[in-house]
Amino acid sequence: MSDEPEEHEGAPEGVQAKARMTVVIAALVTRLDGTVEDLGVIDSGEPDTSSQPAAPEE
Amino acid sequence: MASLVLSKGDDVAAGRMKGATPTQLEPLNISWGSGAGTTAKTDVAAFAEGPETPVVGTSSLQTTVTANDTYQVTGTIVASAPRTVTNVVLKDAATLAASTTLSAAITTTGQTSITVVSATGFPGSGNYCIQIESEVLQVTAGQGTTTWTVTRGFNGSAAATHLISTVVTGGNNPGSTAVTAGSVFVKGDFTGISLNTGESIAFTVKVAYN
Repeated sequence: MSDEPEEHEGAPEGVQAKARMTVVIAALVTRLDGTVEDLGVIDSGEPDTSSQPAAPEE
Repeated sequence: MASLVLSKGDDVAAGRMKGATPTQLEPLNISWGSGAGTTAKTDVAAFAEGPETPVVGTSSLQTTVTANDTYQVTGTIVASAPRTVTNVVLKDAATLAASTTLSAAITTTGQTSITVVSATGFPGSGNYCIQIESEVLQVTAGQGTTTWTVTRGFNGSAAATHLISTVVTGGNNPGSTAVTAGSVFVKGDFTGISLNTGESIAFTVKVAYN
């Protein structure tokens, strides 16, 4: 999937046809000896547009 | 790797907007899993959830682009035994979904009768979904027994073969709440994090709406 919002045919220029949701997961691991490991972002999903309604037909 | 709002997660989000009827609890509970796989929109459960009890996270609104455009949940899970954690979910209940294992391999993608070690915790009647690795199946007969009739490749997933002893986890597809603690909002997988007993992961999960 592209990072850019999709535009559908027939929509006014610049109008985004689909909303998007982006999931970001970060983690901090604490070891038995007390050491804390900041893993930062361990996964970041692409913008999720797959469940949005299809563009209306012309 | 992927981190996504699942198809059931869209149901959960819309349900929260609708409010009181039907009641959709906030998906602020964090649970992890140790199974392999890449998250798909079609998933209905973690990859081999648990066995640690999910934790009730702390939720807040954060700013990614515009004010309060991001839903955030933080929470820490402590390992009760050595394990490698590979995925995490946000769900609307702080309990584990029902889980068992295959008592016989699923050797073809068209096989519609499967056997499991136990049906404990799974619905005793009605159709419900299970996740086996990356495939979602719908149980349509045999509820309450250990031999289930299933629809393969359900919820848009792809049918696949599965080895004996593979983990089977209950989960809800959009429109269903048949499986207790089986409604997953967000799921993400990552490079495995190895933990010893007593070690923990503090997760921060953000869902940005922009």
